Amino acid sequence: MRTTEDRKRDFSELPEDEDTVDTVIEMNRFNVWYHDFHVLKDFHVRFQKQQIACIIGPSGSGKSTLIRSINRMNDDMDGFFYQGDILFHGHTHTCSVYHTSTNANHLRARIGMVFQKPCVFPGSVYENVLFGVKYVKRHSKHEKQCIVEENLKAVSLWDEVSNRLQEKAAVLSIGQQQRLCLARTLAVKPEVILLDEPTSSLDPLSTLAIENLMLQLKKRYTIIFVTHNIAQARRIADFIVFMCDGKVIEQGTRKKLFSNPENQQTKEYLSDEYCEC
Amino acid sequence: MNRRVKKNLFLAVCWFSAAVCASLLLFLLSVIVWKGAQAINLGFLTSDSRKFGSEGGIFYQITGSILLITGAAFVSFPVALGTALYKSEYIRSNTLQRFSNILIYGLNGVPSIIFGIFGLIFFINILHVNISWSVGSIILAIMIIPTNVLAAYQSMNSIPKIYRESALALGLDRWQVTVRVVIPQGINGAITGLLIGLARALGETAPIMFIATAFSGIQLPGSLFEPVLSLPTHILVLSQQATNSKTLENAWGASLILILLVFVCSLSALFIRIKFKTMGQR
Repeated sequence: MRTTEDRKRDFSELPEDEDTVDTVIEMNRFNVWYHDFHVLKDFHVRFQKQQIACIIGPSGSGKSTLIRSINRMNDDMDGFFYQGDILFHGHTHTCSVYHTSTNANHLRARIGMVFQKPCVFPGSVYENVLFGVKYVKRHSKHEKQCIVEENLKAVSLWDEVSNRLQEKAAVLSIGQQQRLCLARTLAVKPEVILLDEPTSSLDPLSTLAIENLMLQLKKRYTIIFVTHNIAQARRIADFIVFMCDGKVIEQGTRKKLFSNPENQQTKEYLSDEYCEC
Repeated sequence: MNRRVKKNLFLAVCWFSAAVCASLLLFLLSVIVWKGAQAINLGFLTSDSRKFGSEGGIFYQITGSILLITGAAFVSFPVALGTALYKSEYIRSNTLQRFSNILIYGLNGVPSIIFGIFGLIFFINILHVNISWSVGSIILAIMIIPTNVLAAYQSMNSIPKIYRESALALGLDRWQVTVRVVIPQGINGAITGLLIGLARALGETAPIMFIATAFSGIQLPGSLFEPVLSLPTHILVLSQQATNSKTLENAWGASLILILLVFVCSLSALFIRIKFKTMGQR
């Protein structure tokens, strides 16, 4: 059986300029199959603390599978099979995401996720923010009120909904609903936030609001953001992973990838938004 | 034949089929209402039947039928809800899903008299239970479980996956997702299925006539193990004594009341279905 030491040795092959102390998520030769289809191929990536990492690539390149593998949302997918390892260096301890001793539900509370389409639960705005919190611990009415206010303020929604907390969340605009979903995720106090194309169904103003939020939230959280919008990656990313056909084609800082990409495919994709994988 | 003629011919066939279907129902209802209304008055609804149904009313037949289906509802609902949840949330294998569907549709296809015979052999002959309304309720419950399961399952299955995933992504486990997301949204389908099943169970004679009901000489049961009077059994026996015109009139009256009870169940099911749509249908 491979030990943590073995796994750490494997990471010696990763780019040396990155500071391993600040690493939060390490993917070590991670592979995913759905039945016979090899979706992720030998993924070897490191995501750093308090950074926005953007995963870019053409449709069908495996971006969503990648992000969903980090908090084990793929576990119930038909024919899901993995090989390799993902390490999560949390505030308190490090765990292997797919180790049998790792509780997937606890892990998901620490690695939150916001989906492409905003999904508010039936019930009020207030109930939506507290949806996941109830299962962490019991809170008094006052504490609940504080949690709702704090998290709605964190996503800049408080001013818009403070006087309508008891209204149905479904009446909010799509952009507001997406920010509510983010507030609901933040309320569980995650360390990492995964966002799977969260702005693809939003109008430009709401998109801008979410982007600004990401820039504020990165001071407190590690953000991994899937997008197919290159301009968006240019605006908010600190670190970019470009993937195609389930493989990492190139990864590096935003400055490096946009000004001096090493790979021809990266160059083509960043300039034409198209590439032959 | 050109396209327009074909289209009109097709429409005409469709209209004719729909008209045949609707007129059959209207004819049946009109006859029952016309014949039954003559028998119905306050006394008919509130008094006991006398002289083998030729006099008096059907009060204890109504209460007996309601008691039977209430018992059936209490037995069927939890079993159906549990089965639907298991199918919708826990069975991952397609083979198992297909197998469970075969079992459910198979149970649905069993003729009602077989349930009656099964109840007679199992409860009365083997377990030596008296002819009792509780046994009738259990048999009716078994009979309506498939309708109930399928309605509940379809309702749960129509909840978009994203709701379950959003709850899972907040750290909730599968049981918590079931309680917080699936049951609140699927319960209306389960209730709709239950009411449709009960509407069917109300009119069933064969499954209960050997094991749960008597024709006369009793009122309300004092315990779980006593027989009841019921509308379908009453109508069956009265119509077999059709020589007496007053008896036949009472049989039509009882039929009208039975149809009205079935309508109440069906309309409630329709109301619940419209009022409480699941997340996926919004």
